[in-house]
Amino acid sequence: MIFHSLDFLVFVAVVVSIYWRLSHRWQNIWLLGASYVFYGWVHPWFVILMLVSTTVDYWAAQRMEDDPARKKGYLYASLGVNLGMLGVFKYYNFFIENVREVLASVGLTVSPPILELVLPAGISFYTFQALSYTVEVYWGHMKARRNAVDFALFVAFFPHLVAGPIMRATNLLVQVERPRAWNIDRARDAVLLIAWGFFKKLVVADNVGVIANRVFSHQDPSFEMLWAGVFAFGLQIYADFSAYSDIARGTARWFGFELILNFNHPYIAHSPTDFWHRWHISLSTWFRDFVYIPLGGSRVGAFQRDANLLATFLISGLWHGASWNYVLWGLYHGTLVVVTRTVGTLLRLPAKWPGPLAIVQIVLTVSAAFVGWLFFRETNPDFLRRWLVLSPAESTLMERQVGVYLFVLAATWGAPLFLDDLWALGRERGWRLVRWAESRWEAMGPASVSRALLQATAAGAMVTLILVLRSRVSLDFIYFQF
Amino acid sequence: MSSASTAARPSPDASRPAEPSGSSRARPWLLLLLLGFGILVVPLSLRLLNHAVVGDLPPIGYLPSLEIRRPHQPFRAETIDELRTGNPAWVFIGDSMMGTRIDPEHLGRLSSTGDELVSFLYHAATGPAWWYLAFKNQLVASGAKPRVTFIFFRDTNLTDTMFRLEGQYGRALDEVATASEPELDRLVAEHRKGDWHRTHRVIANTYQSDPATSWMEPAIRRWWVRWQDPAPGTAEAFEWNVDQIFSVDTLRYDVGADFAASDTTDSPDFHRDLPTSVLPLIMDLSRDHGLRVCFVRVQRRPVGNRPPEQSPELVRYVADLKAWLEQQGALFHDDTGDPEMTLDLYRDGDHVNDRRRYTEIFRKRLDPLFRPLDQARDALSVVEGR
Repeated sequence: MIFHSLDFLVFVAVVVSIYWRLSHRWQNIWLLGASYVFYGWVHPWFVILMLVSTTVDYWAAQRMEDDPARKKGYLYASLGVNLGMLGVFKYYNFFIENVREVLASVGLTVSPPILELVLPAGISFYTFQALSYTVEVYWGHMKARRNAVDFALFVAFFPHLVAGPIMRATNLLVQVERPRAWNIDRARDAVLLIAWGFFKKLVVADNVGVIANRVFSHQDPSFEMLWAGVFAFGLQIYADFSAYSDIARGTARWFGFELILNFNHPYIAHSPTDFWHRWHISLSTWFRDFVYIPLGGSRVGAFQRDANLLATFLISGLWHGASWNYVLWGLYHGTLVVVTRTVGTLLRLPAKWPGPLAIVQIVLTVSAAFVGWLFFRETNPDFLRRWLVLSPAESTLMERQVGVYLFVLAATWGAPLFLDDLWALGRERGWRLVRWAESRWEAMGPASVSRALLQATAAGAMVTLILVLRSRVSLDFIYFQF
Repeated sequence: MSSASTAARPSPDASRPAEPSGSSRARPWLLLLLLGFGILVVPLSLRLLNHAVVGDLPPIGYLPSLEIRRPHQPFRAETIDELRTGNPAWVFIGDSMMGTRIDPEHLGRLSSTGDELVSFLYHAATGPAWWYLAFKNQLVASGAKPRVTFIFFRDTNLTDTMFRLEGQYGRALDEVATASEPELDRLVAEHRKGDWHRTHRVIANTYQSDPATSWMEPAIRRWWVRWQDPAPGTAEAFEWNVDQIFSVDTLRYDVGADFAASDTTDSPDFHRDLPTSVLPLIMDLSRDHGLRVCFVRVQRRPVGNRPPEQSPELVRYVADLKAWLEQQGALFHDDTGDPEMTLDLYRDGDHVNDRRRYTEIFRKRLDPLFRPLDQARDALSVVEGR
C-alpha cells in the first residue's frame, strides 16, 4: 500500500480507531496484523519473506543467550539469512552480469541464469533493522526477546516499513513493549507533520521529478539542461524521501510511537561530514555503528581510518542499489569526507566558517552533494561518462535558455524546501526573528487555541496547495526501489 | 489564558496524566476538531480565488463523468474541411505508434497511381477515446469516403477506454470532441463508478480545485519567462520550443520511452473489456457510413532478435479481438512476429526509427489494400480471407 492513496488514509483511520480501544497486548497483535496487511497489499508473498527474516532473528537471538558458546554461529545464521535474502533479490543479477562480463573479457562465454524476481519493497530497510537486533544481542547490549508478537511488530511496524527510518531495537522494540498513552497534542502535531509530508511528496517532489525525468530521458542534453536536471533531482530525492519519513513519523505518533528524525535539513550542512549527520540519519548511524566502528572507526591511524570511511561509504552506496553508479556515488561521498577532513586539519580551518563565510561554506557543501546526485541518478555508465565531460561551450543559446528555465522552474517548485531550510538555518544560527517567532510559539503552549488555529490554517493551506498543485504525474517514492 | 492552561497540564511524556476536569478534558478534542475543521474549510478559499481570478467558471465539458470545470481547447474544424476537399484514399488514425511508423507522403508515392492522398488524424500520446472521436467527429463528419481507414494500436489499447484519457493526456481530446459526447461519457462512467472516484470528484467539485489548477499551475510554470518578456504569447511560444527540445525524437534509447501500452494492470480479457470500450461505437459508425476500417496491431519492441514475449492471456485476447473484428466486417493486421520487424528498426521503446522502411514493409504486407481501385474488390476479399 502506498502512502499517497485514499486506501492508506482509510486504512490508518480504521486501524487507529480500533487500536485505542484495545489493551496493550491486543494493540500489538492488532498492529502486527495491520502491518502485514499493509505490506502484503499488492504482493502477499512479500509477507512470507518478512516472516522468514523475523523467525530466524527471533530464534537466533534467543539461542545466543541460551547457548553462549555457539553464539557466533547463531549470529552468522542471522546474517546469512538476512543478507542472503538481500543477495538473491537485490544483488544476484548484478553479480552474475558482472561475472559474465569479466569472463567474457578473457574469452570465456557463459550464460548463467538471470532471475526474473520482483524486488520486495523495503527489504533493505527491514533486514537491516532486524539485523541490528541480533547484533545488539550478540554484543550484549540488550537481552533477547521472548515475546514473538512484540518482536514481529518491531520488524513489521507499518508506518516506517517500506522506506524507514531504520529503527534500532533499543529504541523501537522498547516502545513496542511499553504501554502507550494517547496524547492528543502530539496527535495534532502529527497531523501537521503528515500534511507537510504529503505536500513535499505531491507538490514538490513529483513536480521537480517531472523535470529531472525529462532531462534524464534526453539523449543529448546541453550542459545547462543536464545540471538543471541534476538540481531538480537533488530537490526531488530530498523532498520525496524526507516526505516519506515525515508521514511515517506522523502516522506512528497516532499509535503512540516516536520514530527518530531521519532528515535534519541536509541542504544547510556546512561540511560533507555534517551532511551525513543530517541525511538519512538512521542509515548513516546504522553504518557507523555496525560497519565503521567494528572496522576500527577512528581509534586507528589516520590512513586506516580513511580507508574505513571509504569502505563504509562504498558499502552504503551499494546498499542503495545493485549498480556501479551507486558504488561510485558512495565512493564520491567517502572521498569528499576524507578530503575535506584532511584539508581542514592541514589548514587548521574551523569546523564552521565565521560570519558571511558560513554561507559560502554551505553553498560549497551543498553544491558538492548535488554533483553527487548525478552519480546517483545516472545508472548508465556510457551516459555518465558523457555527462562528466559536457561543456557549456557546446550549448546553443536556446539550450542555455532552456537550461536556465528548467533550473528556475525546479527552484520555484522547491521554494517551500528552501524556506523551511532557511528557517532551520536561522534557528541554528540564532537569528533574532526566528528566535522571537519560536519563543512566541512555545509560549502559546501545546493546548492553546491560538496555536491550534495556526496549525489548522497551516494544515488547511497545505491541503489546498496539494489539491491544486499536486503533479498530475504521480511518481513512486524513490526509496521504494531500495 | 493559553499559558495558564499549559502550566496546569502534565508533561506529554508523563506516563499517567492527572485526571483532568470535564472542560479541560473536552478541550484537547475540540482543538483536534479545530484542526480537522481547518483542513476541510481552508480549501474552500479556492472558490473565492477562482471567482476573483477567472470570474465565472467554464461549463462542465463533454465528459461530465470524468471532468471538472476547466477551459477547453477549440475543436479542430479545419481537419473536416481538409478531409472533405482532399478526399483521401487512405486515412490513418493513431498516436506515435503510427506517427513514427507511417510516412504518408512516401506511402502516397507507393500507391497505385503514385499520387493518391494519405491523410493522418494523428496526435501523440493519445488513446482509443481520441481515435474514436477523430473517427466520428472528423472523418465521418467530413463525409469523405477513403478506401480504407487504418487505426493503429498496441496490444490491449483498443478496449482500454481510460488509456490516456486523464490529466494532461485528456486535454488532447478537446481538438476532436464536440460540446457533448454522451456515448463516450457513458463508457467513462462505467469505468468511474467506484467509491474512490466518486470521492475524488466530490472533493474536486466542492473545492473547485481543477479550475484553480488550470490558472495557478501555468502561472507558476511561466512566471519566469513572463518576467523576462511580458509580451503576450511569449511564454507559450517558449514552452513550445522547450517541447521541441524534449520531443520524442530526442529520447534516449535506454529510457524505455513510451513503454506504457495500457493503463490497466489486470490480465487481458477481450470479452470482459469489449462492452466498456469504444470498439462497438467505431464499428457501428463504420457500418452506418460505409467506411472500411483496418485495425493494425503494431509489434512492440523485440527482445534481441526475437519478437516480444506474449502472455497466453494476451495471445487469447488478440485472437478474440481478431475474430470479433472480422465478424463485424473490419480488417485486422498484426505486425507481431513479422520477420522484417527486427530490433534495428526500433528507436526508443516501441517507437520506430525508420518510417520509410516501415512504410514499405507495411505497403508490401497489405498490398491488396493499395492496389488500383478496379482491383480493390478482389484484393479486399484476399485480405479478409487471411
